[in-house]
Amino acid sequence: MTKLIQTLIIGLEYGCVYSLIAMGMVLVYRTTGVLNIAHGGIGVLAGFIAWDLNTLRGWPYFPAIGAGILVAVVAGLLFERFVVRKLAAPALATVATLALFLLLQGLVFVVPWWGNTWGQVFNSPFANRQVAIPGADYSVSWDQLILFGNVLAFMALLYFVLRRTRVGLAMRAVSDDPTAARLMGIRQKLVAPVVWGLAFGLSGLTTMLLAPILLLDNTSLTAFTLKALTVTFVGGLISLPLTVAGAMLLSMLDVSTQLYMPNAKGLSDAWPFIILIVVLVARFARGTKALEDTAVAPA
Amino acid sequence: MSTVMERRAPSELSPEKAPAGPKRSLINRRSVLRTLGLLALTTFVLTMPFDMNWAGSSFALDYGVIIGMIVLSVSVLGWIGEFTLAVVAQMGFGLVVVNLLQNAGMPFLVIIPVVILSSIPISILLGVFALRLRGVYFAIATLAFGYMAQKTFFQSYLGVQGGFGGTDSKAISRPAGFQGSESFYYLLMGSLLLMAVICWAVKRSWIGTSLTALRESEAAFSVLGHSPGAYKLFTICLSGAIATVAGAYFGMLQGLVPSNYFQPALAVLYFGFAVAGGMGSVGGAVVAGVAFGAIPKYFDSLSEGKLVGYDQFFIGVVALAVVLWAPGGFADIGRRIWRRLEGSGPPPATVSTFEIDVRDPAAAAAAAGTAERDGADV
Repeated sequence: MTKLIQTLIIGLEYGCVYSLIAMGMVLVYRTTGVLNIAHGGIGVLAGFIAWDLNTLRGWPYFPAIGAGILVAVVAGLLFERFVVRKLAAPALATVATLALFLLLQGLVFVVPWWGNTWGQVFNSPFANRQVAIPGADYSVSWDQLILFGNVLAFMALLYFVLRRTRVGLAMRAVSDDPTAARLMGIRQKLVAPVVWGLAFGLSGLTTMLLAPILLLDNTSLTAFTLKALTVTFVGGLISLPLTVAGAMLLSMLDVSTQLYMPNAKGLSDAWPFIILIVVLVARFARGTKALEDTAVAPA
Repeated sequence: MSTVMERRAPSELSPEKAPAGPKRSLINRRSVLRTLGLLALTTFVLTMPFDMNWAGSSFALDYGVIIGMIVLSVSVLGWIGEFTLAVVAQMGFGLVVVNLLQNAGMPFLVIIPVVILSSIPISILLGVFALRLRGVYFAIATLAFGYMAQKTFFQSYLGVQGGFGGTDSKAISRPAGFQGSESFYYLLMGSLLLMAVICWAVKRSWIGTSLTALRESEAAFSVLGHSPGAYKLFTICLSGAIATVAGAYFGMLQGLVPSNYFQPALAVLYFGFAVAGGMGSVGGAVVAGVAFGAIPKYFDSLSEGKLVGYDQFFIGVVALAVVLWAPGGFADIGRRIWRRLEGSGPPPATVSTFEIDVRDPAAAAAAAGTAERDGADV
């Protein structure tokens, strides 16, 4: 029983992390046609800024993480204005996000006092608080609960924004048919900054939620991003609900393999590739054309 | 009419065969410049290990040449408009194969052909994805493959020690006669140049022309009776063979390589190098790979380890600048400088491989211009 609860909680925890990262990438891809490879890198930058303000400069925790997320949002707006908008094709903008990823990965080494040769401890004010699970010899930390709560809140917020607001309607219109959206008077120049700011801010938020549970370093966050990238494949880089489902599936399979089959060496790490194969086979079996043919046309 | 033609001077009949004064001087200038350039390049390549002694050991240069091979393998896929993140995994397989063959007592001259052959099954596996997926979808598939290879195969066999035998692992050795860093450099450089010449010849041949056509419009290419699958597989196999040989040489350079080295994120870095060099360009990839591979190592040596990790930041800045202001990369910048030196007029506007979007007629039209220029690229 304890093992099952442990599997569910850890699986849910990592599923939430993959979901947050993957949703950010899908959001950008759906509306702009750009695959944001820099997603993890922005999170690392925001995380280190917050850690710097909180640990080295003595800022209170919440203003520090707020500042980190704000920097990420501003970076998103600037990147959209001065890079993405100047590039003609989405594929070229994807390459630009890759360059930004490298730049941000290196930035952590360039700032001497960040010293990213090892992970930095970035505890939240709830570091040692835990909630015991009734009927099981297991407890959940407050940080984990905050992570779950934030993911649920973000999903609800995203649903509300996309379904109930004019900005969300514009984003969906641009995503479905950019040409028709333009003819209807929707200005892509106003929608795109919102999307980029939101996605970069989401990346910052993910790091803030993850850092108290893991250490703050650029390799583990990058590894999460790369794994989340394969999750986006489940939803074809289009569907947000399918992406979340894929993230949960991957993390549950990963965690249960580690807990129930410790001798199956490497299987837990092979799941992203196995899921990818299954998705492809399922699409072929359904007679779906190449994945990109079903994708929305980028703006 | 024919009588009139017979009376004309040969230069009037065929201007190409008998060029006029200014054109003849241009050709002379061009051939002189080319000869001088070739001489300078040959001298530079031959003396590089000794010229760079002040900055550090030739190990940095050896490393740079191997990175040049890897970047070339990434760049080759640009011919079909794709990018791969499995290149590090392919390197790892090359390293494993060379380890196995050396343990079996095979000589170097047998090892390299076997390494090339061993790359084919992996390339075909990736090719299966390439037949159904394009663009970012193919990149994600290769990323998942690279991640799985690193976490399963390499972690099991190479582990933290970098060999099959755990703490008793036998290091991969360099071939006889190439034990020193300087002598090994000549072997590596010779191999890199051979790869570059092969790639250049392929690109200049009818295969290269067909690949350009395929990249511009797969549908039109199929309608004309060609098989996109065969051409894609060929390109992926060529790219895979280069990456696998690079991995074998990397094993020889390092001796033991732990599995941690083969992280898929490293493939992103190499892709950044290829973008900076000019995706799809042979010369640009070689220059960018060697420069970005060797220079950080020399900086590490000169700064006594204080500048470790700065290279990623530097590469990021360069790659971003290239994407924004020179989408053709170093190859295009070099071509522009060369044309100015030759005095053959301003070059046409640059269009990156990644700007070709079949859904956008303007980009497709611009791509046609790229195809013409690519033919003259080295």
